Amino acid sequence: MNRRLLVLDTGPVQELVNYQAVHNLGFQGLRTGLKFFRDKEGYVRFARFIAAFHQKTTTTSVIVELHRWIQKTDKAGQPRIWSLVYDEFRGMGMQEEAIKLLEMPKIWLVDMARRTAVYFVWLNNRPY
Amino acid sequence: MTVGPNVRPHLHSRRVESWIYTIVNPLIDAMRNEVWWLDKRNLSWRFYSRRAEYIRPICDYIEPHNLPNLEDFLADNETFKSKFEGHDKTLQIATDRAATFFDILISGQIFKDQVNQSLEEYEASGTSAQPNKTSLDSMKADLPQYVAENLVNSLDFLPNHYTTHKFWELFGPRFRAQISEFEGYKQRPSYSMLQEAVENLADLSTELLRDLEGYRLRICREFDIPAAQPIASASSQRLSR
Repeated sequence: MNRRLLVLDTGPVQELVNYQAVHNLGFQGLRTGLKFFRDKEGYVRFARFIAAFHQKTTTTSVIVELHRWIQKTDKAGQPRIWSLVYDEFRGMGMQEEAIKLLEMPKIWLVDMARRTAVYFVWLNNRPY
Repeated sequence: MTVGPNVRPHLHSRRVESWIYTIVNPLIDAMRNEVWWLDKRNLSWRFYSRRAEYIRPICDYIEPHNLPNLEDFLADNETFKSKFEGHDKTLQIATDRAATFFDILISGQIFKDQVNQSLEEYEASGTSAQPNKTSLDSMKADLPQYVAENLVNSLDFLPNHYTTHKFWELFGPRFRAQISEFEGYKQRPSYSMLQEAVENLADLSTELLRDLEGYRLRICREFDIPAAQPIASASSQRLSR
């Protein structure tokens, strides 16, 4: 598999960070938040999937959602979880896009009310 | 336990409970995690922050609103004060030595040449022979820093989805074998000094873990309190750990 661009939503990024927080930082209380990586095999498979893409990108709204999630964890552990987020972004060479509301076609705003994933459709249609 | 003048906590003391739940338990978790990192001789040092990201001073492991409990705990358990100070001091020494070793690597011409040569070999190798090989063109300028950071942290491998995963899998062993050549003649001991500091920290974290676990067991028996906070009173607290 040799693909060009992977647009990552909050779910996969949070799952990656959550997995690292449980297994590399010992934050056992976050184990219940793991939905897909029940064991190392799932994590490795997903990591290989990501590796098949030359570019990875996400939007600033994902950072906001990660921030909301991290705010719900213990204060003393938050700086280390943010370090994990930073390491993941740095490690996979994640690009970050700010999508301006006024740049989006107005017709798409109807969809925005229903699902935030419209950001990602917009992002995927931009030239790279 | 050394108890303050003429005051001895009673059975089921809430004060002693708070030491266990807000100080000792978080520190046992933290020391277990430190031992996990340091067993691999990974200091989790980063060049962008020039500090260990996952191994922190003792105070950082305590919830900010529980810091008065830490002061109270140390007032009656003075032996831990020197142990905590020793931990933080050893961490600082390891961090300083990591920065020194990193700076020596980065400023050395032999190291730069080796990174460039490895990058050329990597980029020249065909993608059919190296599946999942990612181009490192975009991070060419920062590559020496990433390599030096990996050497500081004694990294054997990187996760599959990291851009430098394949590069490090192919060339990491070569860099590790050549560490002594990268150091200038006068600074030669910098890597062994770093290793020594990391080993000292590993020993100290292991010892502190053992002391804290022993202390918890003794105190729980002496004051007849559970080692974990009962679920009803803990449920109002936040997630994590």
